[in-house]
Amino acid sequence: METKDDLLRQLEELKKLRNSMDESTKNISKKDRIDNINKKEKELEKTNDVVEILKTKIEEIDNEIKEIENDLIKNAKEYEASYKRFQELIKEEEKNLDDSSLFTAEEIDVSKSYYDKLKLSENNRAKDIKKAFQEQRKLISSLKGKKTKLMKDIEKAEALDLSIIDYNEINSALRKTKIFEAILERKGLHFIISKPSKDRTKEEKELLKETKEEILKEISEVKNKEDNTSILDIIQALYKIDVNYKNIGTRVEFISIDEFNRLKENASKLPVVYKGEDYDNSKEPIKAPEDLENIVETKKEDIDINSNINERIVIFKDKNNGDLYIREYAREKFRDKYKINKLDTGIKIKGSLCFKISEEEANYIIEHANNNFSPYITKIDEIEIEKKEYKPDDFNITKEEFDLLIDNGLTPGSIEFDKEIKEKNILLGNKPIIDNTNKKDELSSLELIEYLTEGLEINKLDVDRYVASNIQVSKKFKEELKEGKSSYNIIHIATSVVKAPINFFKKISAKLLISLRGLQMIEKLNIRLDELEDSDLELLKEEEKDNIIFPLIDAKLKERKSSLNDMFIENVEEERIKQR
Amino acid sequence: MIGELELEKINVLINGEEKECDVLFTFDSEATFKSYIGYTDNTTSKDGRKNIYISSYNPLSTKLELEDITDSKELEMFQEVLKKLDEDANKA
Repeated sequence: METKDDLLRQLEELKKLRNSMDESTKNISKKDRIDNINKKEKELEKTNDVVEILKTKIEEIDNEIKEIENDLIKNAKEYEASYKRFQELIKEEEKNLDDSSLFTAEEIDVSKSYYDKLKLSENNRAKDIKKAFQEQRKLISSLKGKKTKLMKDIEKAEALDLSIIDYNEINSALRKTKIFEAILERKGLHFIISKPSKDRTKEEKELLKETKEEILKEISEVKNKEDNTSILDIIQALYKIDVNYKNIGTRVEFISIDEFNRLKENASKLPVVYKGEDYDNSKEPIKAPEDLENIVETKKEDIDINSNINERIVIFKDKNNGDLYIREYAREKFRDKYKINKLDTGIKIKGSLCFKISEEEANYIIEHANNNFSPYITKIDEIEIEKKEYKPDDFNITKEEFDLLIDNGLTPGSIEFDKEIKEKNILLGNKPIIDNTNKKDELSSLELIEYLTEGLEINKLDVDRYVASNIQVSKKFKEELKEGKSSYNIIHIATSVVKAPINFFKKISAKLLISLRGLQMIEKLNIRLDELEDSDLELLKEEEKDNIIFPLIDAKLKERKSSLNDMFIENVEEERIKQR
Repeated sequence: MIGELELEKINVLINGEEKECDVLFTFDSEATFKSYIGYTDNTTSKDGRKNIYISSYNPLSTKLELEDITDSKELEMFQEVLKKLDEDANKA
């Protein structure tokens, strides 16, 4: 029989443990130290130090990286141990409550529901810590990668008798695709670069690599003789090309209004709601021609937005110049399946990274909407897109920080780019991150669903036949079925639970036993739901009851509404026990 | 693979009347992100058949709410589960 003192002592330990976990949470971030090393690595790229000094500095950086990594692992282990103890303690406390005679069964249920909330909260924190840990390992790994690259660059620069600054400057010039391609063209290798990278043969790739080294050597030799000449001037003189790469041709395609009208006409023949340039919310959607009515009728069931096709591909049309764009996920989808090529670096439209597509590609997307493999709904959305060349000032970050993000392969204006700034707290002052979009809270429920489900092939789950998983049956019912004496009426009427054992629902479905793909989808949807305002969730709850993702929306809203302060829970519990 | 469920009871309001019910079976579906439950108040109808009530609930929610099943595909899934349970019981 547990006494009041025992229960209070356990509660006290629980409090201490949670304080310790709070401390671990604070310590897990190594942001300042990582940023500091990043800065050091960046400085080394621009230094005129001799090779020996550079190598010593890199060694110092290497030691610092190791220290950070060790600390990170230590903090994570400490947290893991505390979390494990927390789980044991909650279990003990729940058992002790059952064994004690201090409370009635109903009161014990209340206490247990408090502990459920604590468990849920700590479970979420454990997930966040795990995520933070993985992200920082990624950053540390990036530091290591940069350090290794720096070391290699120093060695290569040394071999070419160049300073690291000059070496980097040459590479930076060659990284400008148009310049590099123009040089390769002069060298007769245009047949290789005109192919997509994945279509190049091993020999061609090797030849490109060798040619790059040859170019580096050629430029280095001139630089060593003409130290005061800029790298771009050397390139211009050596290869007789215009180094103002913006003038070296372009592959960007613009479409005429006639072409767009043809596209629009094609779209209107398809059994989808068309929202083109003359779309007006107050009017009926453009209808298909009379002779297509039958087709529209037969296909209606397949394409209705409330039916089982939830995937939508939006084609944005820029009101200013008619350029067409699709979201990143759509580009990936079509690149894989229909060989659509990447055309530019992407811009942000309605909160998503989007890429320009040609009219032919847009036609392709529209024409294949009704395919058997993965049908989707297309929509043309005409909007004004602000063209912008991003600069560090747009994000309130320094040039170094901007370059660092670019070096890490992030596209300015992309979601990942913004996320990185937010999470690394590079953002200074009060200027908002540049975003030429409408805010999410201004979106309709349809657009919110579009945002939530973009890129997730949820329609694939919504098949002709639902399949059950994680089936569990009571022993008594199984025996009854075996005896075969009873027959049954299956009744489905609205009922409500008045009383159920605490944790009952959790116990019988420890978790939704769904496939990895399903779990990943839930995870992605939850991340996106977290980004929505309460008002958005309310709107979705009201208007999207039949949507397949409704259970997630509903759960998220309930989770937010029941945000009982965790510390408050412990204090309430303590008070309840003391009063006995 | 069908698992065994510990006998649980839930009190449910059926036609405005609170009834204690035995939980007979449960399952999930990844196609709907929902879980499903079959339970009985151990009553029989006039034709001598035992009444089994079926409902769905949101396994992702902390609040327990049973929902009525109206979707034909969900009902078909229930039929298949019952068939599977019957086959499984008679195989054992």
